[in-house]
Amino acid sequence: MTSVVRAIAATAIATASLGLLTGCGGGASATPTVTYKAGDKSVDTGGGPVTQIDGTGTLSGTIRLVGTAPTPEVFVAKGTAKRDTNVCGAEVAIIDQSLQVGEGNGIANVFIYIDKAPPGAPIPAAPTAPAVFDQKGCVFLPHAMVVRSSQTVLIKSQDNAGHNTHTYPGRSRSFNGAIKALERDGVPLIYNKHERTPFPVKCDMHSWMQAFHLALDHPWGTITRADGSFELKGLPATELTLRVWHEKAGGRGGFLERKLKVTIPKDGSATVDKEFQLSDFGL
Amino acid sequence: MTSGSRLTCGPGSDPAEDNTLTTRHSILRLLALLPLVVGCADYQAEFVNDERVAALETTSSVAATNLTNSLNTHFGTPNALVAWGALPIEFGEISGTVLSATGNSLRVSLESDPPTALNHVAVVLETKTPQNRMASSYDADTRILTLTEQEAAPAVTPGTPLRLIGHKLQAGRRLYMRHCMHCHGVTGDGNGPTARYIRNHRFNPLPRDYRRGLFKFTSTKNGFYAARRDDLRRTIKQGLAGTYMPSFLLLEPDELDAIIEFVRFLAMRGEIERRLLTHLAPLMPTDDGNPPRDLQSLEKELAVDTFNEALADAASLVAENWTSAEDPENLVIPTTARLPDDEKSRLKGRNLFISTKINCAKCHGEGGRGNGGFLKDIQKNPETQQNYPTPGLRDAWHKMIQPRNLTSGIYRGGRRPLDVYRRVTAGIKATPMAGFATVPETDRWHIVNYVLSIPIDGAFFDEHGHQYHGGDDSHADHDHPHDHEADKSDDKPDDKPDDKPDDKPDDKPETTQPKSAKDKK
Amino acid sequence: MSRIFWCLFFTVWPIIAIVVCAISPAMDWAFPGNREAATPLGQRIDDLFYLITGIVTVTFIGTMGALSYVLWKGSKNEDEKAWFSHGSHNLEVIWTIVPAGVLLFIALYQIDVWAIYRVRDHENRDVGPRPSHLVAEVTARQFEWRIRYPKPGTKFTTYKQIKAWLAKPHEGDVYAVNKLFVHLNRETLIYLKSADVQHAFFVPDLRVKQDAMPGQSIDIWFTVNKSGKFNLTCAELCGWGHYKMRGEVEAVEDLEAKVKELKDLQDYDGVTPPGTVPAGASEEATP
Repeated sequence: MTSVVRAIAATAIATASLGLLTGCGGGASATPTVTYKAGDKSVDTGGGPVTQIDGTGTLSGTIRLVGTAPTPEVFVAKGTAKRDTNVCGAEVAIIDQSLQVGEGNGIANVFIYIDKAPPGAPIPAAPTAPAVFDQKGCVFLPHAMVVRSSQTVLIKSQDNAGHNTHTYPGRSRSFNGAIKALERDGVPLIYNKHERTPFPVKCDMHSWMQAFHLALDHPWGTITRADGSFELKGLPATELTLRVWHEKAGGRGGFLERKLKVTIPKDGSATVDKEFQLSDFGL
Repeated sequence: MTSGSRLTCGPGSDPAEDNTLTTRHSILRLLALLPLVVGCADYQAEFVNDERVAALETTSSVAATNLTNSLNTHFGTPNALVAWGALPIEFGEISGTVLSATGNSLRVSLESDPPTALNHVAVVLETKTPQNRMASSYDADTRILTLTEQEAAPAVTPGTPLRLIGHKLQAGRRLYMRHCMHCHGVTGDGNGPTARYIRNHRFNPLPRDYRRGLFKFTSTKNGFYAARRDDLRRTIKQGLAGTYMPSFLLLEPDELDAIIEFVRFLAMRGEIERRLLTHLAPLMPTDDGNPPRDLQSLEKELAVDTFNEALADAASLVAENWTSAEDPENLVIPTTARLPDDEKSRLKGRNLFISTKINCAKCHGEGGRGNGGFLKDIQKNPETQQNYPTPGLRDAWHKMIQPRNLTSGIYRGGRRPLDVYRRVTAGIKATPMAGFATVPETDRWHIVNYVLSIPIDGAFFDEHGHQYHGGDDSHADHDHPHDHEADKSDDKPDDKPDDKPDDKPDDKPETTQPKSAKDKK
Repeated sequence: MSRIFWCLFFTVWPIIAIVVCAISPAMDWAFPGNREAATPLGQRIDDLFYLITGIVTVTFIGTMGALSYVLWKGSKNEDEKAWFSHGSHNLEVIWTIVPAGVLLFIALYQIDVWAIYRVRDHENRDVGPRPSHLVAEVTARQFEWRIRYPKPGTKFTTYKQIKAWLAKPHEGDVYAVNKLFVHLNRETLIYLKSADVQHAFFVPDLRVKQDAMPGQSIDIWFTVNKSGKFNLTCAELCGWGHYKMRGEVEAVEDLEAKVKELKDLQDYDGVTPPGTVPAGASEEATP
């Protein structure tokens, strides 16, 4: 065979093998296999028969800060808002509410709640009256709120300017509705699921406006007052695991305490006083 | 080739020299072709994990492993998918009955003809304890369903019902990989190979990251953030005007259905991954990179004890969200017909638009150009409570987003009055555009009329109905009500001499519509 | 032996080429649209193509035959010594004039087709399309075709009106994507724009191809005389999605009714009784 023929034969073999190799499997046109997995009808949460818990008690206490909190930042000094000047910060300057420390170094707006209702505890019915979530001077009132899931929250506005309320719940349906000026009837909003962590509620039009809500399927959750004190009534008389949450707590999840164990005496009251460091708030 | 002269040479030429040269040449030729071969390495498509899983891995590998394993078990990989019955996805199911069984060959009677060859779909034999197998092939003539040899032959009695599950999911995955994957990514994370070319402008929306289960242009009420199948169908068929999402009008209806199911599959997978990561969030490293306190007990609680419960909870929430989106009760449908689109209505709409009571103009701008004052504020990230680094509005994916420039005539969610009504009433999910459902419906129709007129008549109407020619609004020049005659004396240099009209001496095109607002003096 | 082999080797390929070309129309390997263009102009272009193919085939066979003969005769001739030739002036004149004549013939023959395709004269209204035949503005963009029809019932009488209409959106315009409806048995005039880079409007079945240049509105006119759906593809590499840029052109009898139908869908407000919206319209949205 001459070299020419050999050269041509070599090229032909190479092209043929190239063709074979390019044809080989995988890629977009491959047909995937499908295996079926049945949906579990129920989740076995374990445990046998549940004993009823009778009797209720009260829990009270104070959450304090050790150290001096920094002066809150002023978001909008009085009368200096760039937009909606006659409404936002017109009467009172708008101050950062993310860490409010009151008398006796008590921390306000700390959420204290039970995650899941203890099995066997009778859960009182949800209140029929709606909770009111207002805004004035481009500030949400209140800054922190605990509601029952399925309880109506009425969003109102005392401001003569349009707002919107944008919620970011973890499990419930979210909401992003415009609230027109001087909305006194209230726009209804329902968090339809039990939430395990408080979540932010914002106004997109006024970027500093933020509040935190928590929706529970039981009534055992509250927030601390301005002086850091709180009180929970009607708690099931058993050992409870409490969660203590604050919006500025450092680390993931915002929990100051995830498993605060307290035993509630029947027809009695228990006290919990906790102190947290500045470092717990990332300061 | 220099070998031409060898044609005339006889066997007298030097064979040894010939062979060396020729062999070397052949080897060189083969080597030259090698780069072509290397290019076609088998591309293994794999689902990628959320970015946070890598961080989770550093503190708790148990949690990360449980997470990835559960996703693998319930969703599979792109080449080995899992059809999980807990999710409201149409995997493509055909029921039938087993007539007779010999080893791995079953004679079956199916209720409908399978649309595909049924290679590798799941077979569920509803015996006392359901047995799962995989189909290898189906012969429609002999009605023999052959199972793969991977598992032992099932024990079935004639009359056992069976289900063949997965042909639609397979079709969807193949079509998705062909048409959608290069932008939307194998995992539906919006990070496919061509997604990077869409980054050239600040506000160009990137391909949708399905993993939050959020879709912007839906027809459902505020709060139902999952999209209906019809919404996805509209987006795929019509594309999104003004973005890189093109129209796939020419796909067949069953192809569209299959792609929609696969997109839902990817969205649900992403959502469940996300919810599991939220459940495992306390295990993530703290801001300074250290493991959290109580890592051991947290790990036991979250990644082991309550993990399955969290997975079931996530699945039921996701299923509920997607199912409730399909409920016709949750569609946004106006109760009254659109108000007549006349000048009065548009003027009312304009006044509503600029009033501070609703504050449309604060985002969309006085001229509707999407440059309102709120864009100058720095927003806060709702997930981390930290401020974003630059001023401007953000969407749920933390990307900069601009309010719609209403003068452009581009409506991503559709340009029907119904579509604009839906944007105004229910807002746009995952963006700061709120739902204005508490504004009375007549007012909303006025706003719709005004918005739809902006590209044609310009955005500027004052209270007297006169047009105001603002600064750089280039459309205003054509609309001055006193300049009808401008057409006749058009003195642009490249213009051709006046055309002799065919019939009428009048220069305006005949229309069957009464003159619009701009003719008013 | 090898000489015969090589001669046969180099002869068989041209023969296969000729045979394939000859049978390809019958085998449907030739033109899209089943060998017949759907426009009269397209049919004339096809005729031109066949004419030129015929001329070229005759030339091809002639020259290949002559070459083969010369090679064969020359390779067999082992005795005659090669001699210098100063060329043959006559031969060279012949084989310059004859091809030039053929080419000139082809050039003149096709002028007419080119003129119909691309020339219009504002003075002489019979040359080129009439403004009243305007159907749509087609904007090519990466990677789709965006179409805008004027309000149904609008009659354009001058090109200035068309220019004004092209310049901005107008009330009552009907929008569509990737699907273009055109007249059947009546001239269609469309204006081609580009939103970003160069594209090309190519409908093979109609034998229409025109580049879309950014910044320009380019007119294309044709008359479709076969009903049906025709592929619209992009014929100018415009980016990574160029291969996907497909659309559909459909010729319909009553175009105004069709556009009116689209407009009704576009005007759907969710409530208006079904009488004013065609049956089956429901949630079908237009962009």
